Amino acid sequence: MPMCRGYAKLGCGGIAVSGFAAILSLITDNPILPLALAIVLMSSSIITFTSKSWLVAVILPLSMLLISLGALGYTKHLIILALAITAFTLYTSSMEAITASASLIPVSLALSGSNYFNIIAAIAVVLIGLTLIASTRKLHSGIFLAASPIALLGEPLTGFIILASGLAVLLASSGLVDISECPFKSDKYLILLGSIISVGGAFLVFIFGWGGLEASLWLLGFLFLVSGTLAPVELSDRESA
Amino acid sequence: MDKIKSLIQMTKPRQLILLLVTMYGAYFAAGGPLEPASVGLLTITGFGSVGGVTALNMYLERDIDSMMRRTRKRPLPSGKLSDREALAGITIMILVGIIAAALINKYVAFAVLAGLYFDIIAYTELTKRSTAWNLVLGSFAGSMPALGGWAAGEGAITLGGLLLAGIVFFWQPMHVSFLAYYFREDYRRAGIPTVPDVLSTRAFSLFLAVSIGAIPVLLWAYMYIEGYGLFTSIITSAMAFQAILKVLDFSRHPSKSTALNMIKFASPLIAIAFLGIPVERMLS
Repeated sequence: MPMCRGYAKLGCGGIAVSGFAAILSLITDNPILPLALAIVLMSSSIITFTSKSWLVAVILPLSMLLISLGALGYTKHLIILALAITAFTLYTSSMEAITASASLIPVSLALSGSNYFNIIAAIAVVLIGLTLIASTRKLHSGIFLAASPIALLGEPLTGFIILASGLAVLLASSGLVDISECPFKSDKYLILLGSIISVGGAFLVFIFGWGGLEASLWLLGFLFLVSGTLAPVELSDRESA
Repeated sequence: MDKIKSLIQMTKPRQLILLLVTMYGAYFAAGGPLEPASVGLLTITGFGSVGGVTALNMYLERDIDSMMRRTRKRPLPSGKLSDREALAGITIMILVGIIAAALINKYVAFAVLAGLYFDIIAYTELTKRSTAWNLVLGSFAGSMPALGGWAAGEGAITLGGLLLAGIVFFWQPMHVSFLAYYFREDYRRAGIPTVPDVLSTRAFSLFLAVSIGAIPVLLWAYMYIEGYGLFTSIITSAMAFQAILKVLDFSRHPSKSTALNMIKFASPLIAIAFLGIPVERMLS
């Protein structure tokens, strides 16, 4: 099973911010911003899965369809549902699916016309790029390149500055990626529970709207997923590593 | 029945009771009604979420527990519960806790989820095995029951609740660090970094003295803002002063017996603060 190849520090930072951002979405007026931020960071940080690239073919069109529908008027519910489906794929999916899903965030925000589009786009560009450099997989490159022009459509000048800054950070951070080590392993039971709860919560959000209970269940699933993905490495494993 | 008993054991009942005291204290301090339905829902929230998160923490640390003499007899390393049984019970507990919290209001749900996040992800998974300053993140988690209790009573997160949560936050280093000092051989064997291990005795004592000193400061600030709590502030300040003197004594003569003494002293300190404040609120 190919484990992560040096994302620990980036992963820690990403997860630390993403988890709290997701929880903050409960009490902020605009839940989409922290939620999207959370998903981008989480998706870019969780990289401990095996490769099942066929899932990408299923997940990508489905997510795109939902996000497009969301842009037509049911933005909040459908985007959340799409994000939940993305999270569900974490159970069995590959790095490709995760990164590809993360790449959809700037697209979805561009379509939904968020005021924070540029900030999100910047973060997405940087984080997706970091994963891209670290993984050197072709599919990442393709998705990244597809997402970037869409991110630039908002305000061209700002977009280009963001892209340039993102690339600079990305290059500087690649050194960090190389020297860090992965301290985690995954806990399949927790991941499965998280997937079930997050998808169940997302369907409740879809049916009843973004209420405290629905959001809490969705976030609980999210936190279980992250917990299962980042289960601390067993000491015997660490000693033998 | 034995399985349920083991599951309850995973919630660390004594620690659970202390955290529930902070939750109830903050709830009544915020003016929460003494009605069976409200208090019942809060109790389910507290037991389910705080107990469930503690048990989940124990589940994730089962490899360490099997290596430490102090924790070797816990339900998972001793085989009284299987991993699946434990996780099923924990999931039900947390789900029930979250649903009850969300039924109270979204701010309580926020406190519960923030507690889950800080305890499991930020503390257990990201920092516990890599830095001694996991203590800070663990302390955030421990302060969430008080914040949740306040949010349940007040209907929102306001300054008073943040101050009470802050008191728990600054209290925890004393409890956790002396526990780590007392069982330091166990922690070293398991490779868990602790504050008393990374700081000199003098720096460690200074850190704790400042941390304990913050408790009465926050309590006086609470009294100034909310307009009651004089007696609790005076008693707690005296106890905090005594605790600081004990810490200074520890810096000169560090010993396991002093550490044990401090562990025993820590619980009454926080309990008095969180029992006194609501009583004074009711009397005012």
